[in-house]
Parts: sequence; structure tokens; C-alpha cells
Amino acid sequence: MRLISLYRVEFKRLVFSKVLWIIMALCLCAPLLGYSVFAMSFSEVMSGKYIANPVLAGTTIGAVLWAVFTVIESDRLHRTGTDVITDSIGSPIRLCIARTAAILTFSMLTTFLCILIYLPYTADKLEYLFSLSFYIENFLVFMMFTWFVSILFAEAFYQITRRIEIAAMLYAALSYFSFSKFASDDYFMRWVNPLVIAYSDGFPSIWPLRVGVYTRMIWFLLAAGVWLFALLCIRRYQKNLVCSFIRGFKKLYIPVLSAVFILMGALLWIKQPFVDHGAEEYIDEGEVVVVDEEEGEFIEADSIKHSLVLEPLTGRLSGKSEYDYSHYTGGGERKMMINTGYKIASVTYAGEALPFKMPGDIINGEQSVLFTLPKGKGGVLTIEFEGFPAMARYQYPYLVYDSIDKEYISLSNACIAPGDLETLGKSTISVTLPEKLIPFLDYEPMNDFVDNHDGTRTWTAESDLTCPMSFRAGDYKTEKFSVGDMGIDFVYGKKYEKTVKDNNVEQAIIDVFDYCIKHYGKSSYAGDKRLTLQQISIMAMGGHAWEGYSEWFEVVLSPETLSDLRKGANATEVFIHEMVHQWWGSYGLECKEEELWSTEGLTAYSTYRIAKEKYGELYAKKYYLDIWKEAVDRQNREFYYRYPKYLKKLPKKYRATLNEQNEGTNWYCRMPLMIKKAEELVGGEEKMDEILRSMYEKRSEYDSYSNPFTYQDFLDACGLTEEDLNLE
Amino acid sequence: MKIEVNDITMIYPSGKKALQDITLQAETPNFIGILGPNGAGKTTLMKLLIAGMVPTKGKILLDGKPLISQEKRLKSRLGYLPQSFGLYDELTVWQFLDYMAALKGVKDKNKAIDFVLGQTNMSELRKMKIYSLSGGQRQRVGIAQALLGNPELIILDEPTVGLDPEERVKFRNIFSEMAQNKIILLSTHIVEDVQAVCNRVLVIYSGSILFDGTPSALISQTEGHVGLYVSQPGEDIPQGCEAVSKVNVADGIQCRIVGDKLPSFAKGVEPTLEDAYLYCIRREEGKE
Repeated sequence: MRLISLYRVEFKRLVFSKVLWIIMALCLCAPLLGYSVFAMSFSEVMSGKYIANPVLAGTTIGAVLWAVFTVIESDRLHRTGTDVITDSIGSPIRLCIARTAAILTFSMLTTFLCILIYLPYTADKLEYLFSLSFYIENFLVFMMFTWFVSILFAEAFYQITRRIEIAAMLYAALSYFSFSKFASDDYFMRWVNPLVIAYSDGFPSIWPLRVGVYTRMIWFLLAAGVWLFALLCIRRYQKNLVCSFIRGFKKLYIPVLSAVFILMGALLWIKQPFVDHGAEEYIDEGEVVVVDEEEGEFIEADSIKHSLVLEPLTGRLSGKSEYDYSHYTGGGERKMMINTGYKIASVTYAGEALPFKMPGDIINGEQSVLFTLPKGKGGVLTIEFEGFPAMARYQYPYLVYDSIDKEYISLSNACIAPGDLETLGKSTISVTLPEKLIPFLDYEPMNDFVDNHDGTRTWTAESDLTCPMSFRAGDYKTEKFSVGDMGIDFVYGKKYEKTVKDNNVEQAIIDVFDYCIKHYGKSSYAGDKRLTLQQISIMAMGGHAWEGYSEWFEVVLSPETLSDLRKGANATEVFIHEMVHQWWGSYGLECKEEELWSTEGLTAYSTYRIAKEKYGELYAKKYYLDIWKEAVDRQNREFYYRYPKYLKKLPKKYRATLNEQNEGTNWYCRMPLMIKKAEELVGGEEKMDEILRSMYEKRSEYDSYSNPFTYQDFLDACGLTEEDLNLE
Repeated sequence: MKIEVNDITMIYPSGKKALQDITLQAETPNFIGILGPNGAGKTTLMKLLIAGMVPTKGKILLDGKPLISQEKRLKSRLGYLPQSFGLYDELTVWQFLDYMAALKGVKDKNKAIDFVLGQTNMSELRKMKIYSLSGGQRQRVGIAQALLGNPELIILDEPTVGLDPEERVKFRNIFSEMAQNKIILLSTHIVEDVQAVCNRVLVIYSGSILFDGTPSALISQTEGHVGLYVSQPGEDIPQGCEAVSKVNVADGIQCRIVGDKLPSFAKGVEPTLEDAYLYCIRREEGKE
């Protein structure tokens, strides 16, 4: 009997199985847990809350349910003795293949049902942020493929052991591995509970989906390989495992296919392009000597040009960097750094091919390209490169990474082009992008473009650096408005247009700037200069601020956050916090970073004051003062904080984690609480505002490098001592 | 169809020797009854014939080719009723037979199912779930699935277990009718069934074939070794003989015995197949 007919027969038989219908019903209900208790992805984003979480919950719970069903179904055939009859009619191997295929089909149908059932609710919740293709892709990639993998493993374990309890134990062990701390931060190891840290609403993020497809592919190949291997172990002729295996092995195509599948899975894992294969921890480059520094020298390029073509659909970049050294004839060994995901296609100098080496050393997500410029000859150094930007392993699995996404591109430093730290000069960058993406170079908008009339535009801009520091592009909308004589460019994802309008975000920004101007004085952006406030993808968590530029991850403007400001201060705080940094930060008053002192503390205090003014004292107490106090109390009780000498005895990794936690608590909780205490000691909020205003007015007297504003300066301004502000 | 079993020996991994040096041939048409006490090796022989096991030694040929290489061909022509078996309880009788017919690749399934349902007197039970059937009804479903698709080789291991006498007679007649153009192997403890329908009988004892021939040949071997006498309560069976039956009559207990040498007070009678089978086994036991 042909396999396809056997498959039909098994499929038809399973239709009458009550257990199957119960499993399917449970699988259909499983995503419901994702809305509440089983939230594995960032819930503050609508796509995370209403797509990722239900899908991931359904994926994991369903995977286990399907495994249970598969093992029960295979075991009962043997347990009840039905196999005595069926084996006399057909080959048990072919029957197993047909049964597995039928179960896989039912799991696939269940996925489709899930898609249909949750569609109306999801579409209703996400409204204008809803993307049907993205919604379906999630179910297919994560749910369906994980269920497939689970079924194949379960069937394989049963056929190998022929014991339901041992098969269950093996499956549980493999699942435990996926949930264990060894796999908790690893996209590749988590086979049954895929890792999706966050999804973007405003800037459709296919990076997690790309990784999802890739990891599912790896596990599917591995599971299929193990399952094929297990087919050889199906007991025949009443033989034991070994004898059955030896007999099964004679069907040579099965072991060959099994080995091919497993090898392909392993190869995909080893060669994965998403994360570099370097060290897990950040490497202090001061400790790394790749090129003899004495031989290196700063040279000036006549001009530098980087031409990039970005392919958002595949996530790849191809580029050409031209360093014009026409007036440089010194020659010598040079080193450029480039992202580990890129390959160098060619290096030419003065029109001739130049040999180059890539030693494969990986430093913080970058690899070096070494070559020697010939002496006595000037020319243009041209480097052509191409590839898929890889995330630095030390950042893994955090979301601050470079990627070329469907509607959002974020690249930095060596991800943009090969950079030579010992070359001086400005650079010109030209980037070809889909026409709807609006690019920003080094946090400033690129204004010049040429329409290529093929759906793309080539944008050009100058950078003060040999290799730009940052390149971003997205489907952006820009609102221009003023607060007093301060010009503001508010840049946000087009998908958020309705949210921004509905929640009057523009007014919220004006309120914050009004407060700061009224309490601390005019920002340096009054007059001709403009300040850019930019919304960025959730893929870069939190918020950041530089000269004339503040950015927040999109959660700040998500409908979920803006619709209920009373639910908590986290996202709102980020929103206000990053704007306040224009007063307390590198372009306002720059503070010296000390153990207990940085601009973050002043910014957090001001944010609290703004929240208090906007939402009232109770709100500010609950979401700011109480949270700070709780964090400080916890820190005070912390053994290693009280006895730092023991901290040194901890392994480096734990020490670094604790130090990082303490630094965060000090800057974001302890210090604003100390300023609050100072406020009480100096005579109240008005008095403290006066002190802060006078500090801000004197900002020109301080220099961030040679003479930054210190904690002692603050104490002096308040007329207080360190002991006065002690919180212990 | 021709099956040849050449000098096969089957030893289980536990070391138990189930069959030893068995040789036999069967060609269509043939209705073979296999008789033997429990543990004689009947089921093992049947499992070997359906390629459910591989002999430790010797060969089984199907139409002159090794059975293992002809497994697919064998299974497409085979109807097998194991001694103990499971069914898909969640299915109805019809659904189960439909599943089995599909597995067997039976053409014109509905007609074939209707036919076997009629043969096994199950037509009225077609919509019943299998879990709700009695033991005898389940046995009939098992027989029905074995008969599905009019297979050329039918192997029935204790098919009439659990059936009432009337059904038993009916089934053996059905088997008999079907044997016109098939090979049927019927393993049973009920000698009467073999006598009624089989053209050939195999007697297996301790893994060896004691007799392979027609029932009448087996009976004729026993002539002069079956006797009747009336004994009194408490009297033992004469040494060297075995009682086939004991019937209470007016003047005592009428004993029917078999033995190499009958006592002088026993009156010789015509042997039946049951006498012959018991004599055959008794003789072998005597050797041991």
C-alpha cells in the first residue's frame, strides 16, 4: 500500500479519536494563558501582548500536549495488541510514518484553527497596528513548527525506548533543558519555549521572526533526524532494540537521511549568522593588542565615501567604502574593523587588488581586516563588503543590536562600514533604501536624496567621522513645533500617528519642556538650533539622550502605555526622563559619574517633580518615592553592599552583575532620594528649584572632561554635607 | 500459492526452544488444522508464517522465494487472526473494518465489508462501538477483519474461542467453504472442528511435528489402540493407557481409553480424530 494511502487511512482513523479532539481543544485554549500568566514576551507593546504572548503560550503548552498525545497513540497500539493485526497487514515502519504524518497534519490544522479563532480579538485590540501577515507568520513559525518538533521527538523517544514512562522522561529532560538557565538567554537552545523578547508595533520587526524561522528550522531538522533514526529502532520480528536496529539499518536510505538531517541542523546551528562567535563578555580593547600600536599611525584621508545598499526583506547589506589616500604615500600596515557578519568581497588600492587578511579575531562583535598599503604610492583604497549584520555575543540576548528589518533599520559603527580608527577625516555616506524609509545619520535627519524610480531612494549626507556612529531609518513622520523659542522635531513611527494624536503627545512634550524652562531656565536649543525627539523601535530598550537628541523606545508611545498613565510610571518616566536630559546631561549640566552621583539622579528627581505636578502627590509618591525607598532599603539590606570586601571574593561574572545592579540603584533611586532629602533640608521644593536653577545657569563653568559638576559641588550649592544626606 | 517451511528452528532470546527442525509444505487449496497442547509451538509457527518473527534456523519460502523478501507480497494476500489482539475501541464495527479494508487496500470496500459482516453475522452490530461489544462479538470482528478482501492465505489462531457452539459450527463451515481456493491454517484445541473441515492435520508437540497428513491417516494409525470398558468408582485407568472420556452408565463408569497395549477386558472400538490426537501425544509422552 502506498504511503500516501496509509497516511489517509491513519488520518481518517484519528478523526474518531476522542483524545485527539480533547488535545486539539486544549491547544486552542492554551493561547489564552498568554494574556495573563504565561507572558514570555514584553507585554507593554501591543504586538507582544496580543500576538507574541498568546502564540508563545500556545506553542509551549501545545507542544507538550501534542507530545503526550503522540506517545499515548503509539503506545496504545502496542499495549492493546492492535499492532499484532496491523503489523500483519503493513510494515510497522510505514505505519509509524503514516501515523506521525497524520498527527503532524492535525497539529497543523489546530494551528490554522488557532489563527482563525484569535484573529477577530487580536485585530480588534491592535486596530491600526494590526498586520495580518505578521499575525499569521507568528503562528506558523513558532506554534506550528514547535509542535512539529515536539511530535517528532516524542514519537522518536517512544520508538527508541518502547516504554511510555522512559519516553516521557526523555521528553521532559529535553524540555527542562529548554527551560533551564543554560538556555534561558539563548535563541537557539530554546526549542520548546522560543525566545521572543519583544515585538515592535511601530516598526515591524521581522528580526525575531527571522531568528524564529532559523531556530525552528534547526530543531525541525534535528528532530526529523532523530525521528528517522528512531524508525530504525521500531521493533520488528519480535526482536529487541539492537537486533531491530541492525535489521532496520539495511534500509540504507533511512540512516543516510537521518544523518543528513542531523548534520544539516548542526551545521545551521554552528554557522548561524545572527550572533557572532566571540566572547560572551565585553572585551576591554585596551587589553587586546592586535596590531603593534607603534607601527600604526594616524593618517589623513582626502575624502572618505561609504555607499550602501540595504535589502530590508533579506536583512542584508552590500557596500563599498572608498578611502582616498592620494596624498598619502607612507604605506604601512592598516587595520579596519567590520561587523562579523560581513564578508569582504575585494580590497583594491590605486586600482590594483590588495591582499588582505581576516584573522578571525572577534572583539565585541567586530572583526579585523588587515592589509598593507604600499609605500610611495597614493591612491584610493576601495573595500567592497556584503553580509548580514550579526549581533555581538556580549550583548546577547539583549535587544540593542544592529539589524536591517522590514520597516526599521538600525546600524552602528562597524555595522555600517569598515572603519579605520587611525584615519582622520570626514566621510560621505550614500544609502539606497526603500522609498518609504526616512533615514537619520548620527542622530540627524538625512535631507538629500535621489529618487531611483524603482521604489528606492539614494540618500546622501556628511558625517564628521571616518565611519558614521549611527544610522537609523524607519517609516517615520516628523512633527515640527516650538516651545517658546525652542524648535523641536518630534519624529515617530507613522503607525503611531493615531496614538500620538489621540493622546495629545505633542502637548505632553510641550508641558515637560515648559516645566524645565520655567524651573531651570532655557535649554541651549533656544534660537536657531533644533532639538530632535525620536521614537525608536523597542528593539533598543529604554531611552537615550545626546546633544540635541533624545530618543525613547516605542513603548513610551504605545497605546497600552498612553491609555492608562495611572498604571505605572515606567514607560512614562522614560518619556519625560529623556527629555529632561537636555537639561541634566551632556548638553546641559554634565555631572561627574561617581558611585553615588551622575546626571541620572538629577534627571530622575526632575522627572518625579514633573509627575507630581501633572498627576498629583499621591501618584508621585506611589510610583517614584515609594519605589526608590524600596530599592534603597533592599540595597541597604544586601550583604555584599554592606560588606563590599566580600564582593571581591565572588566570581567575576557575579561581581559584575552586582556592581551593575548597585550602580543602577545608586543613580536611579538612591541619588534622587538624597536630592529629595536635600530638598527637605534646604527648605522645600521652591528652594531646591532655585538651587537647581542656579546650578544649571552655571553650566558653562563646568566641562564634562576636565571639570565636571561633582557631588561635592551639589552639596556646596545646598550648603549640606555628605552625612546630612546619608540614607542608611 | 505455495508455502514451504524447510527445517526451521525457533529459539527465543530467553533460550526457550519453541520449534525444532520443522518442515512442511502447503499449496492452494489446503485447509490445515494444527493441533497441539498449550506451549507446543502452534502460535510460534503461525507468527513465523506471517513474517511476524524470523526463524533462528531454516527457511520459509513463499512461492519459492524467501518469505522475508516477499513480506510485502505475503501481507497483501494474508488474513490473520491472532490468538489475542486489540481493536480500536473508539471506532464502530463498520469504521474499524473500513480502516482495516483501507489498510489492506481492498477494492470496493463497502461491498467487501458488507460481505464479511454478513458472514460473521455482524450486520446489525455495524454501528456499535467496539468498546461496547462482548468477548464473542469482538472475536467475530477479529474474524471479519481476517476474512476482509478475500485473502489467499488465512491464518486463524484459535478463532472459535468465546463463540457459542452454534456460531462455532457456522464459522467452521464458512472456513470450509472459503478453503476452495486458499490455504487456511487453523490452530485450535477443538479436535472436532479439525475433523469436520480440514483436509490435513498437523500435530505439534514440544516444537516438533508428530504427524502431518490427512485426518483419516491419523485415525488409521490409531486403529487397535482405542478401547471401551466399564469400571467402578475408585478404579484407576490401566497402566500405559489414557482416558479419552468417562461416562456414567447404569452399571458403572464407561471409560474410553487409548494406549499402545489395551487391557484384555477393554473392547476395541473405531477411533475418532480426538482419540488419534490423544494417542499421538500420549505415545510421544511415553517416549520421553
